[in-house]
Amino acid sequence: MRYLIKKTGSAIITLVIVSFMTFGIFELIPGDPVTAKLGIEADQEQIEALIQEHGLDKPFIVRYKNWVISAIKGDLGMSLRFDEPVTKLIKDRVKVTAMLTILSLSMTIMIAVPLSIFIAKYNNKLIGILTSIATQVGMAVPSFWVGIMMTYFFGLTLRLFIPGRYVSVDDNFTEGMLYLFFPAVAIAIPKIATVIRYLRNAIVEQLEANYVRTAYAKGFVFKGVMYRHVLRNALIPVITIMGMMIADVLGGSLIIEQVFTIPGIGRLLVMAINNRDYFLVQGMVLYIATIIIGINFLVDLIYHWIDPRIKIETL
Amino acid sequence: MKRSLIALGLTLVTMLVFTGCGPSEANKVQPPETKLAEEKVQEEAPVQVQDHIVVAVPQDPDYLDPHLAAASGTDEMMFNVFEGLVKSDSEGKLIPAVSSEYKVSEEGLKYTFTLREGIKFHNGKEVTIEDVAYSYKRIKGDVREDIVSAAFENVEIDVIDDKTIEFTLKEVNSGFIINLTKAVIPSDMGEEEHNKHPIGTGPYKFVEYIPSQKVVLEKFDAYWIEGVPKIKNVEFRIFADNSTALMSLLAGEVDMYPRLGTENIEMLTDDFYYIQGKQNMVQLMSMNNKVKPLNDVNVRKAINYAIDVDMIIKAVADGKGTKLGSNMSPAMAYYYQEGLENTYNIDIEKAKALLKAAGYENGFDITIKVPSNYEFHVNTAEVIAEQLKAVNINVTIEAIEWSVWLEEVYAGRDYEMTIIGLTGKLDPHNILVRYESQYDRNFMNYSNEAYDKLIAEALTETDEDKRAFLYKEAQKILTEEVPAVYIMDPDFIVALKHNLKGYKLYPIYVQDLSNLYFE
Repeated sequence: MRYLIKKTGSAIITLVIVSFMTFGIFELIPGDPVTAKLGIEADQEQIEALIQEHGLDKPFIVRYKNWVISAIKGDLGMSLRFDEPVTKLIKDRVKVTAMLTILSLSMTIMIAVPLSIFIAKYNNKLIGILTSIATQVGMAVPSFWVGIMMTYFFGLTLRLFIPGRYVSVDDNFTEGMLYLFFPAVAIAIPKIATVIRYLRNAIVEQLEANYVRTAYAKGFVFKGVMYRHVLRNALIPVITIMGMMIADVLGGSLIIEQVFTIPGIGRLLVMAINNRDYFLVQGMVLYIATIIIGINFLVDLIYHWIDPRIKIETL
Repeated sequence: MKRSLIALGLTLVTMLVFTGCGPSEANKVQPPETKLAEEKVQEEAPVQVQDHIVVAVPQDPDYLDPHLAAASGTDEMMFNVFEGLVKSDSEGKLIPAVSSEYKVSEEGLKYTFTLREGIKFHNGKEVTIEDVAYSYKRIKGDVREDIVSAAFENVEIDVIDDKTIEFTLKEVNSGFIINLTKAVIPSDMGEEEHNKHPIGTGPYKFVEYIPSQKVVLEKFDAYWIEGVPKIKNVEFRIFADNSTALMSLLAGEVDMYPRLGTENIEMLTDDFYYIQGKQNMVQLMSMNNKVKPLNDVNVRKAINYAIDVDMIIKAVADGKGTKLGSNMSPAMAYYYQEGLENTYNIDIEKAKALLKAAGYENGFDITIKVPSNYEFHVNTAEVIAEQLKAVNINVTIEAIEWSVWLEEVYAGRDYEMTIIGLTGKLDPHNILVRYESQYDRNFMNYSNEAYDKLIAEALTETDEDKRAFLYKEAQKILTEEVPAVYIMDPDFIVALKHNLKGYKLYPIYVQDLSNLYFE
């Protein structure tokens, strides 16, 4: 109970700080949402009208205060650029991004975990070097490049999907999943590489521990040792990384969504920032911050579940 | 299970390596997509033609309400939805649209329009003279506080009878009629509706807008020109990223891609063709006329002599551009002053002499601020920076975001040099007024009494030939005093599917889809 209160308290403080900083940063960086929307042909009168409508002429603190008050009531305001409520814009896109997260995450787990075990099992110099090169490359290639290459190769050459088209899973489930599959792969590749790097090292380290010898001595075979003992211990750092990854993808895979023209959170955020759409950025930052806080909370719980010696209260 | 997963993992790794040699090979492979699609169609029903078209556009509309909209990117799409009493044709001439005819009184103060017989809105209702009056009063600012246009400030709008409307001006304004290209909309709709589900009289009616994704239009069956438009469904798809738009075009997903970069022309396969032409744009390098050392006309002339415009056109636009000598494109044939474009052909010695006369024998440091989203302008800046080295002018290029450019350069005039393309207008006044000293978007910071006088005189001149003469004189002043380096009117290049015909280039920033058809 005390843990919950503590967590909620720190979550609220974090959100306030984050939102204030976003507001502040937008105050400092150059760029004007009104001209960004209306372009260079707008009349002075039109510009004035838009400034009035969104209260942009008010001082910084007043605007922030107004925003906080309506945010508490659940109203995140209207997007300047799109003339729609911020909550609606975000809600429309969360589903796509969530699907993308689930898909890329399951790929990461399904490929990285068995592969790490395999590599750790047959651990020798050659495999070690090969893994290290492969993971290094996987982590180093920029995801936009992977995305563009995949569009070329699978889209233009093999014609498995049509670049630039997006089919919603609501309209056609199989086709919709196909259009999310390739972006998910592009997101998963660097993540798989990262997980393998950490997990393999952790497993190799654990395999050399004394309790492993004891377990073998007790008559366990490799499988038993691996799944009952080693993996549990090796997973702790991986859980942390996975938590960060989920938050990362759920907060919008900015570049991948751009390359594959997926109407998700990431594309919306890029557009909002480019247009200096205060209220939309503010709402999205709030959303992303909430996600990260939530994921961290979940990671805490999973720690405890994997290793009961870790007490939630002490986290 | 484990094995298959490993296999999958390895496949992914191989794929990563393999795709490394992807682009060059992918280029050579002709996308069979469109051909496949055609074959399929032919098997089923040989006469059936494609009845929808996808057009790639770079940005969202700012407002759907035509009287709130100000961005040219919005106009580009909604030109197909809305019409005013008059509208522009592909040569930039004004033709009657919602009106069937009009006349201007001798002294140039009264404009009388006759409503077109039987013209209908997209909701099926006939357009009444009240709708017309309502629309222009709304633009004037009589209906809502947030819609006000200075263009109708001193204009009286009177309904004469149920077919006739009259606009009375306080003083002659030869550019006034352009304002009547603004949309006529129904007077009996909810105010908010205009921005949610707008209704007009154009060849296409609005269906839906999904932010950051698409704007969908559908053929208006009762359009006043019979047999127009030809294609039933239109989708403007919004691509924030040029390379994604290009790939979608090559994949056959997009049928038409306006503003294809010259560097991408060779990517087009046999399934596509392109149309190129003048777009009535002026690409220029503005030199802030109030900032040292650019306030000295000799320095500005020296920079003009040091820059090789032909070279820029070759290097940046692959030769696809028209050299300019003043702030007017030859697309405005009637108003264009010929022969100015070679005034400052490259002459390094002259440039050096002029710099010496101005006291900058050893050159100086200067910064070009350029909007980073326009690769074309960034490339131009790079060429210019290289060229100015010859006269010891040391250029720093500062690529800034578009919204920053708008605030700092365009509105704030806080810059030394900048490169931008000024999109064309139908009326020469709107093009040349940018240099008038009192104009609030005169970001060149140029001021010249003689120039201001010419612009004011031309505005009240009713004789078309005399007016054209005055604007030509104004162009000469700009060439003489060079508030900017006038570079080129870059060709507008639109890529189309090989069987999509009927495209017409406009001297304004619009895509007219009404005459397109599939062969």
